[in-house]
Amino acid sequence: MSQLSDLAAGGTVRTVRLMACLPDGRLIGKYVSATHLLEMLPTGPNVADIVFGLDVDNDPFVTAWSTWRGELAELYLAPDMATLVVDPRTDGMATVICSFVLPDGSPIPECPRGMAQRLLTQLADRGFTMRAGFEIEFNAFEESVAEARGRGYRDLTPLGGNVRSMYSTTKSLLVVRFMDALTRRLDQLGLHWESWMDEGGTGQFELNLEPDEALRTVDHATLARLAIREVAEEMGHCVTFMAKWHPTEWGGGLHCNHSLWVGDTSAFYDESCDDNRSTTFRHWVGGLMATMAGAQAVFAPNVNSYRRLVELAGSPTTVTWSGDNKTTSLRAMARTPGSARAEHRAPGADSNLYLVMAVVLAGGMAGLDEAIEPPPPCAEMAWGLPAEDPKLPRSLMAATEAFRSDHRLAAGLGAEFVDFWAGTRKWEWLAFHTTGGDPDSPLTDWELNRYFERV
Amino acid sequence: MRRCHGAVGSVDLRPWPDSRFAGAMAITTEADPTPMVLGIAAALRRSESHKPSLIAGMKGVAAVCSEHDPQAVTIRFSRGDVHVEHGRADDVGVAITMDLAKDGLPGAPKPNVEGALTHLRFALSLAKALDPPLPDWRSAADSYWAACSTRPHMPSGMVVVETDSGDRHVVGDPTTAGYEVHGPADRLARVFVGTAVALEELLKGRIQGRGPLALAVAITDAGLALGLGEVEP
Repeated sequence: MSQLSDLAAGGTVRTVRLMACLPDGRLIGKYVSATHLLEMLPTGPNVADIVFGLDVDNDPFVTAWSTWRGELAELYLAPDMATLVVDPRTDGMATVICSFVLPDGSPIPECPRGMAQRLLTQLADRGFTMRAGFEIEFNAFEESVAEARGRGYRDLTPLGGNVRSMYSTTKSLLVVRFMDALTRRLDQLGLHWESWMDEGGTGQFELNLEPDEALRTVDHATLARLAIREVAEEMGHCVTFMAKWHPTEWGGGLHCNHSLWVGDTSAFYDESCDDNRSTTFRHWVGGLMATMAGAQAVFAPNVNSYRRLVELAGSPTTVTWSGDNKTTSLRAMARTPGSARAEHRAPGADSNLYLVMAVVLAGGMAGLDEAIEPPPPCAEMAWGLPAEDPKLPRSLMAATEAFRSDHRLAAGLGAEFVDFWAGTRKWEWLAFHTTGGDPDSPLTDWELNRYFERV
Repeated sequence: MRRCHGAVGSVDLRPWPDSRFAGAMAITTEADPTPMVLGIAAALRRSESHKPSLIAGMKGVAAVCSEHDPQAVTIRFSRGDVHVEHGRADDVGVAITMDLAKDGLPGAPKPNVEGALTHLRFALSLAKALDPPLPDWRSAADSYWAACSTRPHMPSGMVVVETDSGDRHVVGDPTTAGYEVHGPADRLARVFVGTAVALEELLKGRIQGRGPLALAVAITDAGLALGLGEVEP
């Protein structure tokens, strides 16, 4: 608050973009004058509760309801002033990340950021803190977003050309210029990036931010994804976070690396245990494995997300874990205390960062509480396994059913969220099939129009 | 699977006595069915409960296709066993293409039927099987309430008003009825059977309601569940 006071008094900030993340990942909010916000704090402005009742196309969910909702009643944006960043694009603008709260200030059960925050508090109650880092994948194109719209998001030119490669450092100058502009923007925003690289698909890139305290990591990754879109727009390019933007290109992921700590000591590392994985780590992995099928409804939230699940094409397809085997859905590595971490590889590029974190926390903590032993690690290639090996759900409705029936996730996320999320996923499935989607088409215009710019 | 244009295959329509199939009919769907597959299967189950001999006597392959979008289903009738899957198979005998958004509305365009001349009896049976008679609006409301009243967020009672006659019918607790639905008999029956979506009907002015949005959504959700066969009437 005092930071904003100083910035406002000095004329650096006139307007604050307040934004909060809806369950489907969209960022919404209001632009508020800095002086007005300072008068309102600690609460921010209100928005109508209908924002939790509309899909990405602004059609009302008729299969989901939240018990706290009224007749377009008011709910509030609660700004977390620690997230304030001065927006380098526009003179006098700052951005602050918010959570959704009820008029009495109590958290909304379906607010993704609030849920992640609540679960991190529960983790702290168990004596742990979490550090995390996301691998942010996206696809970039030479065309502007206006041009992409005009083409129905088809026949676009991947940034760097149409030649498939991986870790290439010799792609066109367009790539370097774009990624350099992006990393400069991240520097200006105070988001510490570690690396970026050319990924397996054409025009596909991965950006890695420095691991940090878990909630800060999610906030920063949210701002980074926004920056990717904004820098692309400024440079006359466009990007998408769709899980599968092209039928024959690789899908996009959002791997979630995380570790537990007690003070400055890794809770995942123990030299006296097999492969240095501590008992805490083993049980954490056990919980993530036990909840992996249900978690898929969050990791792959759209009909399009399931097109990414292709054997031998980068994305995991099985309920498997390993030490260092990138064909599995979960890696649990403990070579050194500092690098001991789990990497959940199931989340798709189109998943909600806060919900991914919440689901990982709910699953992991169930593992700790119940001392769940994981199944044996997968030592083989985890693609193309026989029918008897457990697979990730392969459709949105199959995942939604698994999610709805997962008592461990319900215990962590709350029954109200489970009911709401399952209802919205059913709506997404209905919308796909009844308004133009085609399950037999490798990729439909319906998906491109609905998701290309909005996930 | 192909889309809704193409050759028409063969149909064998040999009715069997009702007793042979009474209570033994199986209407199944593919794994991971589409909404249209579920909706057609639910319609066939309603039809079977209305007149078991109709579907029991049917043998052949039919398709139902949407005129305006890629939705399509194939229905395989095999003298009592029925299987519904998405898409249009190559071996369909009769194919119906229709405007799904206008189905059941006054003045709705007639569906286009391929194969009816070659397979007249099958086509006639199919038309009846897909469109079982609507129950009286009061019975529809009673069945709806019996099947759905315990679903999440539902009101403790509901008042239904038929607007042509002004007749009222209460389901559930009459003292705490939390929502009123008003409309003509046909639209009420369709909403409570699950072939019309309550909030969409409300939006288009075909029915009216009084009560909280929460209950309008809950009532709509329950109707959809009926229409998709998630709950049995």
